[in-house]
Amino acid sequence: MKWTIDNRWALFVLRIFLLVLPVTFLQHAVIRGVLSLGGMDQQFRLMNTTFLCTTVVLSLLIYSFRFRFSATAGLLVLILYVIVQSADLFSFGEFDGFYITAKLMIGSWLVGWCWLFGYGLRRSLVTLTVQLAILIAIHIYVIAQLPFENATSLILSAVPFIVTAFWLIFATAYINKLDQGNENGKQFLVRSVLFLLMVVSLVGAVLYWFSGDIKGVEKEWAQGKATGKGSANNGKKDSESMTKQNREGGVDNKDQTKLTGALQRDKQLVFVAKLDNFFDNGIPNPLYFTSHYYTLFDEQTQTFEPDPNMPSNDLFKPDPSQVPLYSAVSDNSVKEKSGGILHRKVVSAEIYKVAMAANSFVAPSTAFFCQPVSVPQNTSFKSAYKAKMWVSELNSAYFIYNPANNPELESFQEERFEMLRTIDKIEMRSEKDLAYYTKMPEDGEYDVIDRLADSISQGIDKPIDKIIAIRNFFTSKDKYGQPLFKYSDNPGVPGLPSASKLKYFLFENRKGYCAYFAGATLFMLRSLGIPSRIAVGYLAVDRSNKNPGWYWFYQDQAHAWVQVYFPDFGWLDFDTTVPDQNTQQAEQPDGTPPEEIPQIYLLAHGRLMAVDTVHKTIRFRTNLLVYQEKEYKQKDSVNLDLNLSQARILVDTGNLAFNKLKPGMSGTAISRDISLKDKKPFKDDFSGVVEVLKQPVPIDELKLIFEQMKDKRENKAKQQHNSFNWWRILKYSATGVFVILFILLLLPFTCFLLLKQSASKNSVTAVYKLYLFRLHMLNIRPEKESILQFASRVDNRFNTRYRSISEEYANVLFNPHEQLSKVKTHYAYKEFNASLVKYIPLKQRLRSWMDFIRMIAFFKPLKK
Amino acid sequence: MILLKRIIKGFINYWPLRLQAIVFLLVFVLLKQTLGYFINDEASSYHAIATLLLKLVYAITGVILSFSVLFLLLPYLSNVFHSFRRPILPDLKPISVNRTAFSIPAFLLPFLGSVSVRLVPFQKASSVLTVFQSTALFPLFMRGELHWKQELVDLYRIQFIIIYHSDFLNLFRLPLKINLKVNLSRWPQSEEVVSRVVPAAVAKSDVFRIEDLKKIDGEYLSYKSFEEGDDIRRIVWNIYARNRELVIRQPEIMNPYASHINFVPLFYSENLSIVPQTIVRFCLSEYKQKIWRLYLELSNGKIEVRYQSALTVDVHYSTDQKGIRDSITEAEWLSIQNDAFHFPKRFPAVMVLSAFASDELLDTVLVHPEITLIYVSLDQFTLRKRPLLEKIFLNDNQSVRTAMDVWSVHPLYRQLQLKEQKRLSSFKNNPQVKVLTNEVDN
Repeated sequence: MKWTIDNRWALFVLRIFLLVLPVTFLQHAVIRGVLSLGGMDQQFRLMNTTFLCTTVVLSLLIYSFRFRFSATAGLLVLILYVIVQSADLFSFGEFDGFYITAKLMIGSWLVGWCWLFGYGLRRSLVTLTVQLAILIAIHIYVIAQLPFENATSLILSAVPFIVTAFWLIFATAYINKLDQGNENGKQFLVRSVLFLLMVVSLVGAVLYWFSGDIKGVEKEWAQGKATGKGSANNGKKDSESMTKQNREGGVDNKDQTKLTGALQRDKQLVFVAKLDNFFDNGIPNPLYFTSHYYTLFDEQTQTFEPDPNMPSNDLFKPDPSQVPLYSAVSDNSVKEKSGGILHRKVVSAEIYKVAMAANSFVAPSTAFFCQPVSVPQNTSFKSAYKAKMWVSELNSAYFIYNPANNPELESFQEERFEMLRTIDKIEMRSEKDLAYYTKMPEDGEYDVIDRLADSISQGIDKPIDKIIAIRNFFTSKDKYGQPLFKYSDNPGVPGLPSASKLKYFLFENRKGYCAYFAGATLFMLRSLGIPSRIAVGYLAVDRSNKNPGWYWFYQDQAHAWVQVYFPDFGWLDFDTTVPDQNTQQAEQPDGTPPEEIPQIYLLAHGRLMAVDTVHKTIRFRTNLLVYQEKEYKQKDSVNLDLNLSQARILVDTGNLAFNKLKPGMSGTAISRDISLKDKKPFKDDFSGVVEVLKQPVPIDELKLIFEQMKDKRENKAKQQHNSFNWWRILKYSATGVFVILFILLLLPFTCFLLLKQSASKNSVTAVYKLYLFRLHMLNIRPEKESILQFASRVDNRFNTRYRSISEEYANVLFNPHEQLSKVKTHYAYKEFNASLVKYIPLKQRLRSWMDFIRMIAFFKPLKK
Repeated sequence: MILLKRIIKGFINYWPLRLQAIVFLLVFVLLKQTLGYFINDEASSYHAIATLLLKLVYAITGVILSFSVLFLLLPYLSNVFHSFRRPILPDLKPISVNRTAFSIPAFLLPFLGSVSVRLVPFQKASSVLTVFQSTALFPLFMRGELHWKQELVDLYRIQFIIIYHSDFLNLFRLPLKINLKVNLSRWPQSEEVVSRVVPAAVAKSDVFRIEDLKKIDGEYLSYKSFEEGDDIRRIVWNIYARNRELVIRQPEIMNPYASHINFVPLFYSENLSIVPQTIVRFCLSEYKQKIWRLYLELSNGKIEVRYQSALTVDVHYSTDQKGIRDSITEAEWLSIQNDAFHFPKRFPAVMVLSAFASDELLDTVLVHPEITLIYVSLDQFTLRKRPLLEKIFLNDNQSVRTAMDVWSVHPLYRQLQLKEQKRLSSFKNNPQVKVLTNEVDN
């Protein structure tokens, strides 16, 4: 059957069904998404879609004739413009007028868009491609922001969209070819079906390939929904928080900060810390807890950012969740990098996390040591670590201002300022460092801040005096005796660029939160040539006097301040934020520190090998033991049976049920069993300890490290750097191509085997075909000669008996009623092949099997 | 310059990427950039989803694209190898006056894709193909035969053809060159013939003269005086003996007006070399069409029409209709007039001259009273004027339209118009000249 489509109107109808309907589907999906994203009314959706569909059909109809695009499109634009403009004239009420104008405006844009679609479908594949790409981009953007239930719904909203787009590109070109009148309609149908099948199967393969990623996103989404806080932060674009909720639900300092209209501060307990830092007279000296430093100001996004490449990077940032319990990580190079030599001491701290993310690490400035420790039982603490810092004696939360006007503290401050007055000029290790830490945005907007700093520090030589002058500027009083600057979480004016915001803050409003003070101070200091950076972390507040040295940190203590570099003294904290007098402080803590942790007798690092849920025992493979405060290490790991019936199983985020344990997990097992206290090992080495232990060893605590989580985080970091792995795609597609080529290479032989199979029934035609195929593949083919002539030639050349077969075949060929007859000649293929082998070298024979093209030529003889 | 031309030509012929491909790849890259601009907030919850979706789109596009290329490459390579072994010989056969069926013997088509063909003319020949290459040479087809419409009356000289293999997304086209030296004639179309252009004035005098001749008595009726080149055997020696007068006996078909018409179309043009080739080819085509029509009209009147080819200098009359048709089709403009111009020796004749002929030529022709001149005026070489609205809103179905629009404002055209006005006024009272214009047609 062959039917050609030569009727113009039939083709037009075909276009409507095969092209316009898919386009309408795409537009409908996008409209739905955009409407629900904007929270708009969905009731006119169907009407809108129909309207747009009609426009496409109209455009398609017009461009089916010889209408010029430029002239018709120009006319359309003119008409739409006139309509929109005239709507202004005939508007009724003010609101109605605005509403109608806006509606007409959007409507005319959409009409133009659809008109272009009609043109693309009929005449220009390029326009169509671009439009489809735009639709896909919008669609992705929209569905990424809309809530979704599960991975299936996500895929269902995305994949048909893409498939339809490809269908449009394919079918448009094809139907336009049908238009030229020499095409077969049936073929079009067959090809369309084949194309769709191919695309669907390819998409299926891709989805299978991505199934892991899709599930991952689904899981993350589900978690994000459960905590519910992430969405609150994302929803309000104009408010900023000093902390962020990360995916595990923990609180962490943000990686960057923008100045925005309002600051959101929650009053949640983040962590509790013990800090061994006291003045000489025993008064506890609180220190700021640093999370990271912002050294860079991105002019384009107007954000302060941490810079991993900052010179003399003295930031120690371990991930406590990945360090086994009671083993330590340290980095002594930070001491040297911090540049602090004078008046420095080592201070230790213990941090007990409550809401803080398991992987985050905070400690007073210049930490160099981190050791996770176990947390006391039945508390809200999730994990804990010890930290050691290389702290300057000049550093103190009371360094700059003294809220209680304590005379003692004041004298301390003066003493310290005196020390720093010895420095006349601040120099850093290299000019480059100095240039980096005094870099100002080149934008002229910041010149005002520069001038202000100059006027404040006029006539002052010493850097420390300049700094004090700036502090005094922020704490000064106006002519009415009121403080010049006030603290406010809501300084107002959202949406201003940062430079303007800082100007507004410094000269007009004079209200802001810590980021405003820190940002303004940073720019003022840098404009005076004093190297400075913003530190982010938590403000230590002495909230409970019960236990000196213990501090409670709430989420509203998240803070940003400035650090200034002094040669030989290193980086010193310098806070200019004025106290917040209005906002209610978080509740008072009860002031009881976490209880002492009982003595540990046995500690083992290792990996779970087997889990026995009945006896609640596990097999634990270890090569590192700490027994009675002595460490034993061995190269080869040893299996230990541990009894977990009394044990707490902990992960970073809390407790874990026993049945969740799986072989392969790694962690640290701790025993406080008193029976272990007196048993001395037989030999003072690893095997001696193992021998003395009575297995299964009773264990009190098992702390697990989730390595998968670590992997995932690393993967994510990798993805952010290189979100699309071209190399991987190249590898996979190359493999695919090779597989296909391999199959193609094997095809001739497969074909030969099939022919041989069919020849085994001894039908004359099949046998003849088999022999002919073998000869054909060896490039021995009849050339303008009859079958029998050819057979004789072959026989002469290779000494075969091919002619007898050919004769039978010829007989069958010309006597149709003999077609099912069997071969009478007894001439096996083996024999035939053996004679061929004698004359044709192996290399040629092998090569003949590779020739896919020759094989096609066998089944598809050239037309004469 | 020639090198540059060659490079451009080679680029047009063998460049494998279509515009769609470039746009497609551009979009492919830009999609990530633009979306990346909107979803750069990494802390937000939708960043991961958007990235995943984008990755999905990229993966699907990449996979489909690679399959598209694969499905294109395999048949293409197969065809290339095949063409080495056994050259693919396309088949060209005319199916109507201006259509040629073009078919390629079975070869592998790109899977789901298509094939298009370009006919490449001889480089040097100023053939119609070089001029209308872009329009005439992009027919697409998938299987079976292609019907190639030739618009202009001309001889199409093909040097080789290029078969382009396109993938199913229409992004790439891989060329396969096939040598095929063919000359294709697009003959003038036989329109409905109206026998009205028979030169009436001459015919009248013709009848009159024959009758006059018949009235003449005596033996001179069928004799004429000897001229150089006449057959000596025909000399009537009786008369010579009597009068010492060399007279020859005329053959039976002595009176040319009564028995046949000598038809001499002249393809001389004075200054067409300065206008674009497109216009030249179009005018030539139109002229050929007119000549063919005149020929048919003349031969319709049951008079034998003898055609003298414009290309042959020697007197050569042809009465074979097919030969005449071919001769007209192959004719080209001649620009060197006076040296090469040889009058047919036997008068009288019907001559055809175009508006592009020079004044000298006209004068030379008009000296001979036996010659009936058919003057094809300038308006025969223009297309129908289109109304302004149509011009603005409709595309043209004739590919020469743009060139002809340029032609109508060309300085040479103005010049010729002025010249023609003078000519027409001088022709007004000249019974020897018949003017072929649109006005007369109407």
